[in-house]
Formats: sequence, C-alpha cells, structure tokens
Amino acid sequence: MTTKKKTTKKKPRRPGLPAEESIVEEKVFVSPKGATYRILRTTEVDEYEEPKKK
Amino acid sequence: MATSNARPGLPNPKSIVAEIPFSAGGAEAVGEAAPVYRILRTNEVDGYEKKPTKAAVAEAMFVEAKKKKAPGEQFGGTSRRIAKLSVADVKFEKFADVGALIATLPAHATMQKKKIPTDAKSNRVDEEKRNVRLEAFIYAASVEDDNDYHLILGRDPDAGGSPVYMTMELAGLPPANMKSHAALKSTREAFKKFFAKVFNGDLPGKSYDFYDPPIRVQVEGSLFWDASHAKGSRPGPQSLRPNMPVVWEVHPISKMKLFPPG
Repeated sequence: MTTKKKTTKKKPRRPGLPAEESIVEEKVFVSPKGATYRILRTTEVDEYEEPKKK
Repeated sequence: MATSNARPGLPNPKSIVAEIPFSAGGAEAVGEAAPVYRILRTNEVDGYEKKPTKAAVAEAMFVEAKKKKAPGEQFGGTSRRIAKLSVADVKFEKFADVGALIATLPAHATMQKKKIPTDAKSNRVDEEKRNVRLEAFIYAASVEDDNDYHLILGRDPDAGGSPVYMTMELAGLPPANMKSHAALKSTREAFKKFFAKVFNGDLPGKSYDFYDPPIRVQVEGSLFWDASHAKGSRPGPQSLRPNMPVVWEVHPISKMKLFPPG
C-alpha cells in the first residue's frame, strides 16, 4: 500500500524579488486603471556597503 | 535638567545602544540658555515583544540615518569622474535585452589586465566607447552618497529564461558647462517625474527598494567598466547579486523613458 503525503503548495516567488527577511516596508500603489504595484523597501545594500562580518 | 544615569526613570545603562544629544531650538532667541536633552536609544521592549540585540538596534539606526539624508543633484564623487559624467561620441547599438548586451561585453579578466586608473581624470578606454539602447526592467534601485542612482535592470519578468541583471546609473549632475549636462539633467528629471506621478514621489533611499512588478524602461547610455570593483566586493543588492555576472554598467544613462505597470 502506498500513502501519499499531503503537501500545501506555496505559490512560487517571482525571480527578482528580495529575500523576505530583508523587507522592512511594503507600499502598495493602485493606478487609476486599477493596476497594483508595490515598492518593497529593504535593508539590502551594495556589497561594499554591508557591515563587516566578524 | 538632570542628565545623570542615576536619576530614577532612566534605563539600565546596559541596555543603552546610543546617546543622541540635542538642544531645543528657539530658546536663545528669547535670551534663555538652550536646554540640552538626550535621547537614550535602548534595546528595551515591552514584555510581550522579542528583545532585539543591541547590534540589531544599532544597525537599524544606521539604515534610518542614511535614509534621512536627502540626496542632492550634483555628482559628489571623484572616482573616474570624467568617464562617469560623459557620453561617448559614437553611434548607438540596439539590443533586444540585458542578456543580449551582456553577451557582447569583454571578459572581466580582459578588463582587469588594462589596469584602468580610478582617479577623477580617468576617461573611457576603447572598450567603453560604446553607446547602447535597449528595453529593460528596473527591479531595484538605491541612491549613493555621490548622488548617483543605482538602478538594477533585467529582462522582461514575463519572458521566462534565467534571470540576469546589470547596474545602470542615473549619474549625479556634471557641472553645467559639460556637454552631457543637459541630457543627464533631463534623464534625472524624467525619473523623478515618473516617481512623483506613479509612486507619490517615493524615490529610493540608501538601501535598495524593489519594484513589483519591475518598471519597464527604454534606456540609452554609454558603457562603463567599474574598475573600483575589479577585485573584491561588488555592487548590487544581496538578492540579485548572484545573477549579476558583470561589473560593466551603463553609466551614465543619457536617456530613459519609463512606463507605468499595467
């Protein structure tokens, strides 16, 4: 007998989005035509701006 | 006014991350000595909140302080100033997308061997004397201390294929007598006008903002190899850096048309 494991499928994230743990603020804008877009403000910086790791 | 840490009501000294002194404005105008206040930023929180580390509080302060400084318009840097602020005097080459452009760029090792100087007078080398025109999408953006906007551009998010990104910069403005001044000014204005209209003027800060969906643009500019990052750390946000194969940039962007999503 085989048993099937039930899994909840998570919607895959679009490539090019930031790591979730780096997001500090999400702003949602709706155009007059009803299109929705977001600004995801993050803590991500250029590599040379990153705090030095100990 | 008591400023000693011994006064009741003050935080445990061990929880203090930073002491921010300031004086109240306006008191001098009426002949009084300006009272001096302190903000003691701590890592103390309500009992039901998870206590942050002092390092986390300090890092948040650093990010906050960087965002508060409003960017100016003039280019404030020195590294390869001449190259960064000029537009190559050659015809434009058209590319289908960022990937097609990257495929034509000389290899990193080839450019490293050229030992391009990074002083202010460093002009474009032959490989950088190219102007490009393409359609791309802004995935993320930040503003630098030299007032350049770092834009991270990639392919159409709906086109499929492997993600690939590169940096294109809206340069801080050159002196008014430079030939490129009018084009760079007009490009920065187009960028700001778009953000004013679509995002209520919410321009990127010192850390990266990501746009969802990415912003479609038609962009023109000159190629630039970022010799400052020939070795070691590279530009770009952590989440996109693994798919940024080159330190080549379009720098400066000399023309840009932005399209609202939808």
